[in-house]
Amino acid sequence: MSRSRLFFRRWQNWLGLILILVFVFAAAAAPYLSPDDPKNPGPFMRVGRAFESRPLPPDENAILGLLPRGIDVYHALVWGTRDALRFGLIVTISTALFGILYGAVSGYAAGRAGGLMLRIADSFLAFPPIAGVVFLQQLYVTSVSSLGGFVDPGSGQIFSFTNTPIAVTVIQSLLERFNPLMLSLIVFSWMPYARLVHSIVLTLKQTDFIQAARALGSSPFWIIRKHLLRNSTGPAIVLAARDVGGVVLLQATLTFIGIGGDSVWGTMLADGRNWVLGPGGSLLTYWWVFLPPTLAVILFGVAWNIFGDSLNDVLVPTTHETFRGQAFWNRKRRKEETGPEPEDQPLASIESVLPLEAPGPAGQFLRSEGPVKKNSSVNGDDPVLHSARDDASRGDLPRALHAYDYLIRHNRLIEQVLPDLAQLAKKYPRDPQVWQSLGDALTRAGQADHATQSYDQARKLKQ
Amino acid sequence: MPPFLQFVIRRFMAIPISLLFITLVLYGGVMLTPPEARASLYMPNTQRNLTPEQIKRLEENIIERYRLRDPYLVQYTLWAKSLFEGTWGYSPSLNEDVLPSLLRRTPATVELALYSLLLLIPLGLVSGVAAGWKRSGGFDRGFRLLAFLSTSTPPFILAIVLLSLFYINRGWFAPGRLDLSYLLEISDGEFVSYTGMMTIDAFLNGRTDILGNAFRHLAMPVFTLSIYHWATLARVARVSVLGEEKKEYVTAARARGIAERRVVWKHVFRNTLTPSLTSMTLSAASIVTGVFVAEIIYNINGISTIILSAMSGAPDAPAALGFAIYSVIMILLLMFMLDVLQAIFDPRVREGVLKA
Repeated sequence: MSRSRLFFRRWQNWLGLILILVFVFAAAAAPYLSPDDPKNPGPFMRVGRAFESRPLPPDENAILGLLPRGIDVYHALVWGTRDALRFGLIVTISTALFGILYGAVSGYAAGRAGGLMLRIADSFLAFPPIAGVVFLQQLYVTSVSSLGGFVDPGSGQIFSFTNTPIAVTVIQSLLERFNPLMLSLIVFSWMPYARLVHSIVLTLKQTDFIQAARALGSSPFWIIRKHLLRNSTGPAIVLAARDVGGVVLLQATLTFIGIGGDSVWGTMLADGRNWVLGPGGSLLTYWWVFLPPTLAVILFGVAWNIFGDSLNDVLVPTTHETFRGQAFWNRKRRKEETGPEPEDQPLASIESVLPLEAPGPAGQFLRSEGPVKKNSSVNGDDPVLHSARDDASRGDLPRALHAYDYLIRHNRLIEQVLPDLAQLAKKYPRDPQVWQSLGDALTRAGQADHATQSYDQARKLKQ
Repeated sequence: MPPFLQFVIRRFMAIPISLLFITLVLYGGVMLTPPEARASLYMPNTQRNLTPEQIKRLEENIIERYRLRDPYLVQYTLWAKSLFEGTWGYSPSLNEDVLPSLLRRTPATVELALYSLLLLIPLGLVSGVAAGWKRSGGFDRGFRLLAFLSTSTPPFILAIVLLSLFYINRGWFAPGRLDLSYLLEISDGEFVSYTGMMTIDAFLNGRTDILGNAFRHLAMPVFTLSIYHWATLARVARVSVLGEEKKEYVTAARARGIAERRVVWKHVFRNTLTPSLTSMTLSAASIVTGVFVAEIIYNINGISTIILSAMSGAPDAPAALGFAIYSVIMILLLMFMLDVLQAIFDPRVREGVLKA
């Protein structure tokens, strides 16, 4: 089944995608959906009177009502989406990138070094982000005060410096860009990615195509970048998609309980808290202070969770095809690289070089019309042949031919190389190297006539 | 030495190693601040009566003594040593040394965590296995819906709803640890505090009224905590059961004429323990974070009170750092307990670890 059909087979996948698109739209179009107050920009726009202590119900000025102190709920909701999406994506992308790289390196290193790296990652699993937030904030406040300043706990503004020291300015600008929660989450939540990728890489390392790549003398960085990372990112992407919601949820939670994090939705709930939980409060009397941010938080979490599940359908290996995510990108790239083939080719077709009636495996293979079989027989295969087929299926023609040439030079497995090359020649009829290699293979197989034709083809293409 | 004990000891030795890595990183964070700020970690509980000049001198003295201008590793070693010896510094916002204050609040946190785990682990394992065994049956469908709802409701929002319904509107349950009248009675009476955990103390003192009251106060936070992590755990248990029915050991057990119920709860159940409890070990940090959040929302005087006061008052690095280290130790102990639990139930874990 194709990727897109896998995705759209279940209605839940539609739901997740639509919800996410709605959130992305709200985030991107926030300035149009609810224009900022030019005098006082920010998610909390004052529409009503500042001394109004009661939350006012919806009217024509504020379609979702007002929080205490005249704050517009709709405006905060829309700009909160922008804030949440930005926060979630920055944290998730940075942690995922670091974790994946870490896991790939530790998995590839294996042995003692890999073990140590995994140990360190495991240790970090025991750190609660909530402690990191408080710790970072207190470090900042303490260093400001040790330099003779004072940080207002409410607004975070610095007072009583005649000249603000450079160190403080640097930390301050850093904290403005990444809030402490963001830093703490980035430093302390990359481990699941590292563990995941580590274990996948350990399994992959046993496979023939990695062994072959190493046998061919590829450098570790090449192998990690080209083979290991490509094959292990699918599950990590699924994990990341689910994390976006979780991270935003944690941010809202910590803001709600007053630990920091600056979530707009969390602040809305904290501001309206007394009207729900205060004396005489209820969930429904002042529904507009409670329901909108609650629904936003819940739906945001649900959307990314479902989206993660649906990516799981598409990207994560299942029983019948190992490493589906890989196949997806392969197919895409293959399409881009080969493109449509022109109809009026003055060139000979593969059939003229290797007639369909050709005896033996080559002819048989041509008649079957199947695609180049990918990972068809992983076990017992020659590693070089496997590597060649893998490269070919990925569309990496030069590397594939390099491996095939090696086999031809050593007169190995010609009966298998031949049909593969014939298939490649069919797929890339304009590539002289393919025809050259095919000619070599035919020569080895003792079919001089066909070999000559193949060489001719190559020469023609080179001109 | 019996092999099981060997495993437990070896697993226990992993705790200090993890702690070492984390404290190295934490002190790396401390290194970003100027030496004068680092000195606040060692400030004794006397600053109130001192003049600014005396404080300055004290600061210089501390910087000299703990070599706070020296390279990272020198400072780290001295600081790590002070963790073992000292009281983890004086916290101005608590007006108390950090470690005693943490220790005093620990029983409340442990009590909450303990009841939540006791509720959610058996419930999660049993419901997950039951749902996965009869896949797509009526129970499975209900289970999946409930698990989906539980994981999509953020605990703090569930807490708001519960508080509003059962505390504000109905008055059945209440936040805090005990009613005020009982708290007063406890503080000045014959009530002996053995463990600091209200329910156990009440039981040991033979006070059923206090016991009942303590449970009434625990009900909402325990429910809030359990429901979310129950769903996570049960989902893993369910998935790990899914393929099991076709396994040969199940066929073999049936062929021997073993009752279906016994096949599931004796044979299959044990095989799902490892993945389920491993997933819990990995999310131990998020469970403990959940405990802290529940404490703060339900106004329970556990160890997270410390960060609340640290965040609202004067700069208080010792409290923040102390809390970080203390919570890491708690999480490491929780992970350790879950691993031991796993080893008790799953012989393969014991064997596998011992062979390595």
